[in-house]
Amino acid sequence: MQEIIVKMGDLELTTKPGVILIAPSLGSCVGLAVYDQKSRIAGMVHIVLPDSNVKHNLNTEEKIGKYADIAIPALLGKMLSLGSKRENLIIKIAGGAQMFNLKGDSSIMNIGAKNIEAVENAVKGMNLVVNNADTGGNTGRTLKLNAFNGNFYLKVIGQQEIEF
Amino acid sequence: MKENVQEILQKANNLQYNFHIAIKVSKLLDDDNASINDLSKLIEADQALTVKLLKHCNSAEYGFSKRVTTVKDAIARIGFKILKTMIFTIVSKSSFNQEIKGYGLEKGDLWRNSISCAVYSRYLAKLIDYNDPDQAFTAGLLRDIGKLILHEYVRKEYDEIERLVNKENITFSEAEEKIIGLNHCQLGALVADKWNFPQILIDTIKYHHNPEKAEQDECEDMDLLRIVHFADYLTVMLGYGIGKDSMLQEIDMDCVESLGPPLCNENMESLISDIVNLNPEIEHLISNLE
Repeated sequence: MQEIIVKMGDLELTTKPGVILIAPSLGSCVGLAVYDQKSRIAGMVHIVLPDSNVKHNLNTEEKIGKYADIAIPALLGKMLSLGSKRENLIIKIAGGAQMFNLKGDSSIMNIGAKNIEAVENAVKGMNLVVNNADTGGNTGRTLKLNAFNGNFYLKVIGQQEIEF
Repeated sequence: MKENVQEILQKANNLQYNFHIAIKVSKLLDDDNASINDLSKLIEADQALTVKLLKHCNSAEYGFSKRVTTVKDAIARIGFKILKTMIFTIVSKSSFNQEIKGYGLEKGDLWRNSISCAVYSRYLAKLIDYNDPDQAFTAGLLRDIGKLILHEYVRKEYDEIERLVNKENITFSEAEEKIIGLNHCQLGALVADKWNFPQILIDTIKYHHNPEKAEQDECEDMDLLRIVHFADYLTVMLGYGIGKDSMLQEIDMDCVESLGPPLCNENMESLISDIVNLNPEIEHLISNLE
């Protein structure tokens, strides 16, 4: 099996059955994995921030998977344009954690929660639903998707990997 | 049950000590009369370090068109400040690049986490015009040195520490101190002191989770502490080599915002976006030191 590491801001799409997509060490970032059960297309994004409008002038070299508002339509739109049908897509998300104890009042502190909300809204905006989610809390996670059989896996730091 | 603090400190004596040359180089650089000759002699005495230093200087990161072949040549080209961070980085690797079981860190995790914190610290230092960004790099790199020893004790007491975190709503470091007798910051500072680290590094190791306490203790360089405190947070939030304890810590944003306008509330998401663009630099640094 070939492992493809989906790093921060990366967007990956594969039709190769021998591939495992992995979004490692998700802290406040949210990983979204999507699988088309019929055509066996697998996709993943590793989202860092909720909204691309945070940058007044978006760098043209910015990674497409960095912001939820751009990443989700890009990934899901690509799958639909490749012939995927909405009813065949399974979507799962993980991540969006935050620091346990917060002093002060800064927007940075709830980035995890904002990422989760932005991802869920963007998925809804594509007339799709999130089938399973493991989000929030104070722990890091790794999300995996096996493109051969569409199995999703979740590993919470310090725990065993589970099917999810 | 509290472990005997003396016993833990005794363990520190058995830790593979790789920092003596870095400390000597650091002290020599603080001496106004130091020369390139003195420094190169000191470094050349350690063959493995010399080989790694030259290899790193010849990596694409520095882009020298002519190959660096001697330590003297390397120092002349990269300068004293970069030399110091480079030596600390090279000698840290063997200690940090190992499995740290108690914190749930696999081999390579703490190393990646430390390099990330170093790179982010240097970036933040430049952003707020801190006078020595390379010092910030070294401080970010070494902040978690106490975990190298304490992890064995954390492993034994993990369930109890986690229970206390939830029961008393305290941070992981506070629970470490209550259960084991001292936390990884305090232990790291004791070890760093024993190894004659500069005071400024001992302070960042000791207070990186608790800058408010450093203020009470009148630490010399509060800005450096605030930089490392925030870089530590960014490293964890962005998931670079995070362990079981990482998010069970505290972030003091009032303290971070006191560093100035670039780190104010409204710039935060934009800042994170820029910070993520440093990740290829982190990857290069890690692969150059393979």
